[in-house]
This record gives sequence, structure tokens and C-alpha cells, in this order.
Amino acid sequence: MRKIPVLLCLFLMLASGLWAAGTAEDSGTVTIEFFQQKREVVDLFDELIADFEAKNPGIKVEQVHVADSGQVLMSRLASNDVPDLLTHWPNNTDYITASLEGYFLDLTDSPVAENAIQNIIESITLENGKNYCVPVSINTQGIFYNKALFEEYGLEIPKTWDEFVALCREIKGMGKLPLIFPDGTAWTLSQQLRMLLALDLDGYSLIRDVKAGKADARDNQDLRAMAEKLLFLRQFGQKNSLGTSYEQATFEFATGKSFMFWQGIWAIPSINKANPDLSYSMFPLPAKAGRETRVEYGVDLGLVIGNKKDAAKVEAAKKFVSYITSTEVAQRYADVDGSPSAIQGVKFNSDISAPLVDMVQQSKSFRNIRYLYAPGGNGRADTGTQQLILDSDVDAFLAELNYIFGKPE
Amino acid sequence: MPRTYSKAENRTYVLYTIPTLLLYGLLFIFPLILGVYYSMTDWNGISQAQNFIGLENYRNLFSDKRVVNSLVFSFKYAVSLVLIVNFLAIALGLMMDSKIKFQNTFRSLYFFPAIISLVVVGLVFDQIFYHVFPRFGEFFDIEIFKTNMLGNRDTVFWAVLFVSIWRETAVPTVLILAGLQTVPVEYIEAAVLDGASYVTRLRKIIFPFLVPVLSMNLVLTVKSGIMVFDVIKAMTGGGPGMTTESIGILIYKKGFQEYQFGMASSLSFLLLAIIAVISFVQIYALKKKEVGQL
Repeated sequence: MRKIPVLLCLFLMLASGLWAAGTAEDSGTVTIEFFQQKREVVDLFDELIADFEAKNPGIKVEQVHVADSGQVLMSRLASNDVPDLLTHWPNNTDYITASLEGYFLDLTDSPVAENAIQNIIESITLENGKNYCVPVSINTQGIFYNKALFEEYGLEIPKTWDEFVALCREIKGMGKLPLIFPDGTAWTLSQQLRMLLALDLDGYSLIRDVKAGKADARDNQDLRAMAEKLLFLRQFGQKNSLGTSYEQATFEFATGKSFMFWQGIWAIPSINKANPDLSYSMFPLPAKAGRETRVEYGVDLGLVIGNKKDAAKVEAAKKFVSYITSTEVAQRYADVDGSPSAIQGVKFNSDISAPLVDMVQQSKSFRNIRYLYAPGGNGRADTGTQQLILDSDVDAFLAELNYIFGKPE
Repeated sequence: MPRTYSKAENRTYVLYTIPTLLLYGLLFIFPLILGVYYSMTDWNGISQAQNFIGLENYRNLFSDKRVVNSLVFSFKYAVSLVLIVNFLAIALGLMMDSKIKFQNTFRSLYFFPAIISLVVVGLVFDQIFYHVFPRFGEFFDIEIFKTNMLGNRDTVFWAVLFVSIWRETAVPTVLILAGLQTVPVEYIEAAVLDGASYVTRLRKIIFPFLVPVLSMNLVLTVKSGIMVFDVIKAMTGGGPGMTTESIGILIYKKGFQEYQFGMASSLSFLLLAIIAVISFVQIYALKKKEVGQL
């Protein structure tokens, strides 16, 4: 008979646990998880969330930022655990794959996205005509340069590829470091790859042809020249570039160790944090002779809502998206992040990236090419490009590109 | 003579095992079966549907040079780790067992690495390899230390191994120390009286008593060597390129980064098979020794 009180106790414990879990939602507060993948703006989002929660007492937003967020997200989707709200890069094949599988809320023509600039939404609309992302800001990449050092040594901003190489040679000749490469962080390498794929050759047609089985990356001379260019540039970088991470390279540039730094404008908050007094700006990486110099653009911060059954969470997530994409908040975001906004009516106040942003606005730009990669191609591009820098094996790299582009076997 | 149980007792005992059995089945057996199934599909990890492709993934494993590369890396790594860690653990254990000054301080110092979180270890050594070692190399003019060892294909293996050894020697050392306490003092004293040298005492008395601990250490280090994931993840992520891609890292990359979940599953079953064979051989070989010597 002693069993009964024990069982009763267990039952009560279980029941109270379930009851507690059930009532947390009923008490009027909706908590949504915000899976935020952009490390540079974690602090900024903490501030914005505090402000949002003060204005919306019934909603709590929990920002979650993890290292290797892409892999974490993938493993969560694999177990059908999609976050309530997340940031993603709509040109990333990971985003496209997950969208097509129905993990994200369809936002095509949704009022949530009405503040975003229509052209930008069109640029990220998937081939099935649907859009699952509200763009907040856009990004581009190019060459950061240390203004003070350029003035001190009387250096000019290069307009052509030959001028750029000559400039690098000149700086190197002075015994200084022209470029710093964060090659220890693999994703920075696939960025250079995708930029050159569109800048130095018509990568868009090429990838489509490879995908359709009509071309082979190994036979393409432009691709070979591009791979050799990636290797050629390393002579102007620090010794053993593979030993320097993104964070370390950003710090080294910010503290004046190198004259230039090939990176995206998302590095601006980190550079400012490392050295608030640095005087620097950007110029576009010149294309090879015979091709027009243009810059890449892509959505940098895109908000995506999880496709969930819980209507209260979806509504709360929509409210938060509307808040972030309001002109006033988007302005605050743009001012801190230094990125051009994807929201109507937001003024662009950053001098640093202005030369590149002007080109994007004048349509001297191309869309981030990686949306064309095969599913999983982003990860392969990271490792594959790093392997190229490591062993200079262009043939193996071109074979790897076939895989990244999705060549049928 | 084993005790016999009445039927009623038996039933009670069997009933008591049911919750554990259910949990074991749910948390272990079921995922295992699911894993076998996934390893025979082309599932990308997130799609709702997948195609059954039989043993295709297993066939592809051995033609993939990354898989071969990861196997070679893992074995090389495991062998180095097992040899060095066990040697160090025995040496340190014996040293700390002798009556030296600051004995307890040394014991805590050597155990320290085992209690630091791996993420911290990764970050700290990242900075050490970036800032400290190159300066050391410049100062003493030692070529291999001059650049970040983590970014150099010839040195990255040793850099990662060094950190693993630094971290993994602690527990085996403690086990050896514990094992040394089981050596009866009388035997040692008798041997000393008979004029046995230290080496003879080690060989004839101390090591035979240490065999159970040594075999345990061997099992532990082989396992952590073959299955290595965390140290590498925290320090190089498998890079540069694929130089430090262990089997564990490759499974993770293929599964969660390259959308080849089926392939990753088949690779993990290959790892399972390897571990099973090694464990079997190990247990079989060491069991014989124990019986003969104790």
C-alpha cells in the first residue's frame, strides 16, 4: 500500500509540470525565439529588442546567437524545430533549400514586407515566384583602405586591375603590407570566389551551363584564370595567410598593420569597435582588363518567419518584423551597421561604404552569385577555396567547382 | 550457487527493467535503426521526402578522397595520441607518486586542463598560436614556430595534437595515480630489501598491478583519438582546407553543411564498425593479459 502515495506524488509532479508548461503561454505573454545569425549586430539587436518589448508588453523576444549558426539551423530543421523568427541570407542556397521545403512562412505580397524596397524583394524572389524574406539591409564587398596611410605615402586609389597590382607592388616595395587576408576563416574565401565569378567572367551563364550538363568547369579558361588570380593575390598578403582568422584580420587592418583589406561592408561595425579613430574608406575591386568594374550586392539582413502552427507566435514575429522595418528603426539600424537600407525612406549616412553603395544605386552591380550554387554548395565552396589557397592545386579546385555548381554526375 | 528467485520475485524484477528498456529502446535502439535507414537514402537532411538508394552511399564512401583523407588523419591522430598520452600519463603518474615537494600542487596543476571548457581551450590556444608562438619562433629563430601553426599544412596536425595531449593527459594520469595506490607496499619493501633496482621493481611489481588501469587508459584514449571532434571543431574547424578533417568532422560537415545527410549517416556507420572492431580486439587481447598476470 506504500506504493500509492509514491505514485500519487509522481503523478502530481508530472501534472504540475505539464500545467506549468501549458500556462506559460496563457498568461498573456508570448515569447518568440529570434535566431539571429549576424554576429556583428548582436548588441544592436539587444537594444532594439528592449525598445520593442517596452512598446509591446505582451511579447518577449529572445535573441539567440550561436557560433556555426548555419549548421545549428540545419540540424534544427532536420528535427523539424524551426525557430519562430530568424535572420537569413536569401542568396544562400541553404535558405533557398529550406524555403522550398516549406519551413518558412510565405511572405509573398504580405503587408509585413510592404516597407521594403520593391526592387530588392524582386531580386530575391525565388524561381517559383515566392518570397519568404523581408530584407532589412543590403551589403556589398570591396577593398577597405586605410586613408591615413594612403595620404601619408601619397597613394592613389586604383581604377583598373593593373593599377591595383601596381599599387600592391609599390606598397610591398616599401616593406609594408598591402593586403591582409583572413584565410583561416573559410567563408571569407568563398566570398572572394563568388565575387570574382561575377566580376571577371560571366559566372551566371557558366553555372547554369554546368548545372545543365552543357559545360565542365575544368575546361573553362576564365575559371582557371580566376583561380590563379586568387593565388596570385596572396603574394601581397601576410606570410601564411591561412593562420589568420576573420576577427584577427579585421583587428590587424583596424590597427594599421595592412594598407588594404578585401572584405564586405559587414565588417564596418567590427573595425569601428577595434579602432574607433581609424580613418578609412572603400573602393571597388577593379575587374580584369576588358570587363567593366561593378560591385556585388546581396541582402545582408533578411528577416524570415518560421512556418509554425502557433498563430500567436507568428503574429508576434510579424509584429517584430514590422517594428524592425519601420523607417525610424531601420534608420537606427543602418546608422550603426553602416549598411545601405532595404527599407523605403531610410537615409544612407555612412561615408565609408559610400563609394560602393553609389555604384549599387547606379546599377553598376551584380547580384551575389551564390544563389545559383547546388544545395550544400556554400559549405563546399568554403572548404574548397581554402584548399586551393593551401595547396595551389587549380585542377582539383576546378573539379570541386563542378560539384559546387551542381554538375550532374 | 546462485540464488534462485520465486516466480513472483522474478516478475517484479522484470517489471522494474521495463522503464529502462523502453527508454533505451526509444533513445538508443530506435535512432540506431533510423540511422541505418537514413544511411541507405539520399536524404538531404531537411526535405520531407527521401529516396531509398540501398548501399549506394557505402559504395561512394571509398571513392571519395575526402573520406579516405579523414580516415588517414583519424588513424594517424589516434595512434600518436595513444602513444604519447599513455607514455606521459605513466611518467607523470610515477613522478607524482614519489615523495616530492609540492606533490599536491603538482597534482592539481596537471589536472587543471581537464576542467577547462573546450570552447575556452580552443579560443585561448587560437590566440596563443597566433600571438605567442610566432614571437617565440622569431626570438629563438625556430622556423616552424615563426607562423601560426594552425594555418600551415605541415604543422597543423602537430598543433592540434599538442592541444589534445595537453588536455587529455590529465584523466589517464589520475587513473595511473589511483592504480599505483593498489600496489602493496610490502611487496615493494621486500623487493628493496632483496636489492631489486627501481627498473626491476617497475617491471616485476608495479606494472603488473597497473595492467587493469593501463588497459582502461588505452580504451579511453583510442576512443577519444578515433572519434576526435571537439578539439578540432574549436580550433580549426577541419581546416585549413581539409587537412584536419577527422571522421567526426567530416560527418558533421557532410550532414549539417553540405546537405548529404544520408552519406553522413553511412560514414558514421563506418566509424561504428571501425570502433567495434578495435574495441573487440582490445578487450580480447587485454583480458588475456590480466588473467595471466594477476
